[in-house]
Amino acid sequence: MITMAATEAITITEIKKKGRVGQWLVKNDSRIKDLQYSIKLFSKSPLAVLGLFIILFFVFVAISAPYIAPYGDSQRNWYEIMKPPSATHFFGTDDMGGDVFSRIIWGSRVSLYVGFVVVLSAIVIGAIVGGISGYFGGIIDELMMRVTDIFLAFPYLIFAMVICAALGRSTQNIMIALTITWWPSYARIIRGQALSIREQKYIESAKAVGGSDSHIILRHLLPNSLSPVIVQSTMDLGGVILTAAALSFIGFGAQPGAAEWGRMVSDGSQFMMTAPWIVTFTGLAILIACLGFNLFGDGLRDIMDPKMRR
Amino acid sequence: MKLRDYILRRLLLLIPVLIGITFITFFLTHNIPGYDPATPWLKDRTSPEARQLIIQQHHLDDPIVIQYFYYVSDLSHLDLGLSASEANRPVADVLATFFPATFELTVTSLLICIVIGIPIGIISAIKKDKWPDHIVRIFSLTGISVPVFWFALIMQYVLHKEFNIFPLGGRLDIGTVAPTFNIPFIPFHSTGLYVLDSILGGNLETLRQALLHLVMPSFCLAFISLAVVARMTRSSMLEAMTQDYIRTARSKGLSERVVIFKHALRNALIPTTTVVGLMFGGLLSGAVLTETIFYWPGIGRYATGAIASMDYSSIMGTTLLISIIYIFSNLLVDIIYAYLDPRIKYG
Repeated sequence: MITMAATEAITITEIKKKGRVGQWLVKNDSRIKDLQYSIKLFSKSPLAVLGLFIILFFVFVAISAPYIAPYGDSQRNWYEIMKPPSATHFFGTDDMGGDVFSRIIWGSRVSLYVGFVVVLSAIVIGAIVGGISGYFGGIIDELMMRVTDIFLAFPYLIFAMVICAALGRSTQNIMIALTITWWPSYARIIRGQALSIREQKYIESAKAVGGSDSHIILRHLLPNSLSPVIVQSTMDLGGVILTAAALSFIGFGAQPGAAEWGRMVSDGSQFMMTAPWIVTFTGLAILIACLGFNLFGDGLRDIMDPKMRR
Repeated sequence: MKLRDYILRRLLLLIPVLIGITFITFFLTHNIPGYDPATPWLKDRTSPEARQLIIQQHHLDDPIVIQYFYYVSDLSHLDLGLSASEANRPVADVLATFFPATFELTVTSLLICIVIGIPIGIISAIKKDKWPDHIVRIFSLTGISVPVFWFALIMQYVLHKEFNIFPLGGRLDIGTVAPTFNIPFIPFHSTGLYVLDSILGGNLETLRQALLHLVMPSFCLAFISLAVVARMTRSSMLEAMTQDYIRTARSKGLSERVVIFKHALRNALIPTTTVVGLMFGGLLSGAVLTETIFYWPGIGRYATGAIASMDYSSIMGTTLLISIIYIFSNLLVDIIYAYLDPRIKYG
């Protein structure tokens, strides 16, 4: 008995010696081990690593656009109209003499921005609706899920188009429209998680020590239902970028001539038969960016899969 | 719960969803600044007094909630209003003329998904973690990442301009009349499905044209869903292969082919059926882009035009039609699922 008490005393003093960081490390030891294991699993999947590199590459390009783009986003050269790819214009020039390569770099800012904002807002709305719905259950759950059903039954592309048309055509309104069409799937996922989590012992004990509903939802329920949300959101980032590009392709987003990927394909499509490089390279940029998110998300899903973790 | 009760419950749950859908689209489309709600009824020389009368007659100056009730009461006897973007024809008529084109396109795409997607999914599962599996995996992830509108333009460039194999767009060559048939005791002479009509009418030239025109749009539309079907088949095949009944089948000494096709595949196809069924609604929505690019005269193209000109009756009509089809195909899928897999209970 004495020895045990002694060792306990020592470990506690050791922990205290390490300071706040040390305490945090000890407290979260199991989580850190889990994360290390996840990273090990992840690095074994070449496709997922490739996806991560593609994402990092596009994020880098978007952030450093002013430094790496050879030309400005609306810089025109009327003497260089629809020139094929060359050493001065890697991807050729468009119908107004803009450098396609530079415009793709500038466009990556818009697309990534739209993607992140839409997915984050959708998660926030989904978490509120799904968390409340799953935690309280009963009539609240029934009502909220019927509302979610309505949004899920809408043909999403047409719905987004209608919202864009009603609000006016701009990139901002595309983001609003996509958030409105995207949140229901998160509400569904989080509700499903919440339903199983609220039966857990630790929720019961949180209630027993007098935790308020909002405290339990915010501190216990939502953090523990995050992992499927993360997987879903990575894949969705690709989907949102695609849909945003599609919306502005059919004319519901940025103004003609703007350096935005969907708009650039749309503007270039009139010259498809004479200057195919405008559409080809811009579309490839969209494809590769989305592929990056999908490869990464696919890899994450495998890692989170309990069958793989054994 | 009995099957009948289950279907009844689902149909009842449909009512709030449909009310919600009409409610939301109604409010979105009836609050547009700068759009004259009287447009469908106006002629070139309608006088301001006559316009005022029209507005009163159609309750256009009533509060929006009252207007919504008028809309729903019209809807209850299938009056969807007039379409301003289609020469003021009734929306129901316009939908009836455009729907067959979309139906033909969507069903062809669905067939492509099944015929190509399921086999490559099976191959991928059998050769798990070998190179065919990796190729299928990359292919299907690329499939869901491709911008459809871009893919369509590239297809047009390569297959029409460079090699001139397929026509650029439309349903038939310019100048060709839509096919009809004359069969005794059938009161109508066309279904609007050109492939079917030309077969029934025995018109080979039109059939050739209709099929050639179908190839690019349907492949384009199928591309994304193809990837989804392949992935679903792969994962459910892998799931099925780990089951005990597969081990039993193998230990009985059955050949690997029989095990895969008779035992594993039959069970693996159940989830795939669900995905295929759910896809139908998604394809209808995706048809918006494909139809716009390939000049395909379907409801997707109609919807795009209607939204661009804020023709509200048409927008509401198409949204309602697509949602109803989507909801009913979901219901059908659930029923089929329960039939295929007796372990499922209606809840």
